[in-house]
Amino acid sequence: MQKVLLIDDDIELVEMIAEYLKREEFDVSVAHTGHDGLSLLKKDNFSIVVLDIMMPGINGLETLAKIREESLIPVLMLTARGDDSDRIIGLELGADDYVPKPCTPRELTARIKAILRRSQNSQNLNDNNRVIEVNQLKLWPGKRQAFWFDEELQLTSSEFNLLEVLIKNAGKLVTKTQLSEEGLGHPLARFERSIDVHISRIRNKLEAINHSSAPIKTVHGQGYLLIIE
Amino acid sequence: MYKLFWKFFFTIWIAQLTTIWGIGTAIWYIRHHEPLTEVNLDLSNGASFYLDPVVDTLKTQGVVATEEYLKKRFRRIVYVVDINNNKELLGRKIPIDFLELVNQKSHTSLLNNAIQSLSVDGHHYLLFVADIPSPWRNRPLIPVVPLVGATLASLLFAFILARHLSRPIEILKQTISQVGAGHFNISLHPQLVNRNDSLGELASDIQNMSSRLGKLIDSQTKLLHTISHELRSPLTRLQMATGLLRQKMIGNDDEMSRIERECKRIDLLIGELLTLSKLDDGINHLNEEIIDLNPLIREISDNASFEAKSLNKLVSLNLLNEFIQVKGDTSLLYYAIENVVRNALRHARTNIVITVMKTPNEKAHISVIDDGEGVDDSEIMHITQPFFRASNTLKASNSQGFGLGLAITYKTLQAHNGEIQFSNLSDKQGFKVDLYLPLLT
Ligand SMILES: Nc1ncnc2c1ncn2[C@@H]1O[C@H](COP(=O)(O)OP(=O)(O)OP(=O)(O)O)[C@@H](O)[C@H]1O
Ligand SMILES: [Mg+2]
Repeated sequence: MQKVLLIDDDIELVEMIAEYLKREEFDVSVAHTGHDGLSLLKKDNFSIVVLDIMMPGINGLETLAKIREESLIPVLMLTARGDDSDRIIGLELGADDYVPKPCTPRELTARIKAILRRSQNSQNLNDNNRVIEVNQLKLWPGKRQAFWFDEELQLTSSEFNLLEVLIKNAGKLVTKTQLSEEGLGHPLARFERSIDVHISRIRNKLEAINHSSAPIKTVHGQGYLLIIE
Repeated sequence: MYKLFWKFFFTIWIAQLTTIWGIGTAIWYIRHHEPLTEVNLDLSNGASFYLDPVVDTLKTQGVVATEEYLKKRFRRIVYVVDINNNKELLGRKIPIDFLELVNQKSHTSLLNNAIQSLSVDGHHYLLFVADIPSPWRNRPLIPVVPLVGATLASLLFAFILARHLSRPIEILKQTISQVGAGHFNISLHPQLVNRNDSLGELASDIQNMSSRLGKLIDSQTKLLHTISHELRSPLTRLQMATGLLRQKMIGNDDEMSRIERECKRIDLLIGELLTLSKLDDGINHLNEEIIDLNPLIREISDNASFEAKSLNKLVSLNLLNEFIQVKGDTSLLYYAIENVVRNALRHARTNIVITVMKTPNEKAHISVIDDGEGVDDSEIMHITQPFFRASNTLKASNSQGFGLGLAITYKTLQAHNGEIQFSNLSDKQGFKVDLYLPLLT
């Protein structure tokens, strides 16, 4: 069973989400504050965190930042619908994806499953040793590891998936729609900026290792392209 | 803008000039009629040269003619005094002691006729000549130097005073137009703050008023925003509960679907209200992205086309074959245009035509035409008001709107310095909406 950690201050809502997820065969733990969430996270091994960004106290964004200091565990944010700024900040802090509130439990479960499906190590042993290599970039999709100039990249699940899509299509333009569907597992929403935020985080991580510019090119208004040298 | 200054300036200047000239003239007049204190009796031989014509006139033509003659200007003044009552013919004042002097001298001066006496019609007259005191004699009829000086001085003071009065008003005017544009947190110019007069008080009153106004409007929008926001939590719980219920009872769920639909509708309403309050909150919070209009409108049109098929309607799109870029908030502009297209789709009989053009004055022009019945002419001016639905929607069965769409569209275009126009095609053959947005240059 997949372990889900729910962090949200709305007690009744959390109760219902937990019940729903349990019926969908998840093992659910709940926390009502960022603090509780962080300490639970240290004690146990979770597959995914569902985090409400709009919490009082040490709020969701701070909690997210603290989580990212320690691990690359997949994080799904709950954001206010229509509030772009919180969502973008959350993605910049390294959240994997978001679901706008209010949402139906079905939408939420679908998002969780999409992230989990894509963040697991492949069960297929053949896949385990498969390497994709372009220039100095090496990807082991099975082990979910990526190297750039022989140094391991610390990528979140979404970042890894997006990079995988790009490297598989190296030298070709990949549209944002394709990136969203293949990398994040859901269709591109209108004015989706999350792809751009993820890509810019990947770029920063590449540039941190090697100062020459990252090999990902933006094709304005259309998509991205991994350059083959 | 400087109109006020010039008004003040000329009023003050003219007032000063009038005063100066008035007082000047008065002084001049009085000086010319004041008693001859500094006048010297002219006892020289030349005096008779001035006296003789007067004596002649008095003898031959009488008093009236003499008066006329005396009024003429000469380099010397001839006085004609009636001895009986010590009155001068023209009424000019002569000091008594001066007359005594004349009387004394009259005996000695008879030789050269510098003082003469004469009797006419029973009046005894004494005639003598006086020097005009030199400053008076040299003075020109129009005193040019003092006048020019006074005029220049008045110009200067009129300028200073007009500035003093008009500057604060100009500043205040600019401040107030800021308030009009929606900036309620005005800071006063130091020139206004340091004034202790009514203008200074007026300025600080205006500042107080506008900050109060700002706070009121602020709290109003905040309230709308908070209410909308707060409604979301229970709505989320409601949706969650419905989902849970659906998960538990598999089977007939007509009512469940209805509840879910209504939840979505409330969510939509809250979303529109939040957008509206964001727009009310001010232009300052909007994103400023560069937007290609063509792909944006194509997406809207494609979505509408997809929906139109099931309604047996047709959406056609005419794009311009060049880059059309505007600056602004993509999601707001998308919503603004989409709402107009959706309205058209809802009200059209069969056809919707979307056209993108450029106007000669560098604006993007998006027109959306449908072949529906249009809006009653008397209602067109109201359709941008929040929650206004025209009478045509009551008849349409599939109308589900809140009447917020065009309010958002209108405010969005306003925030982007754009314009929106509505018109009915003739004979109820359709409705046309024109949107204008300034192009990025
Ligand atoms: N193309 C059109 N033809 C006829 N009537 C129209 C058209 N567009 C708008 N209207 C009228 O103007 C009213 C206001 O439009 P608006 O978009 O603001 O609200 P709505 O479409 O009813 O609801 P909402 O957009 O909030 O879902 C509509 O209710 C409708 O009566
Ligand atoms: Mg509408």
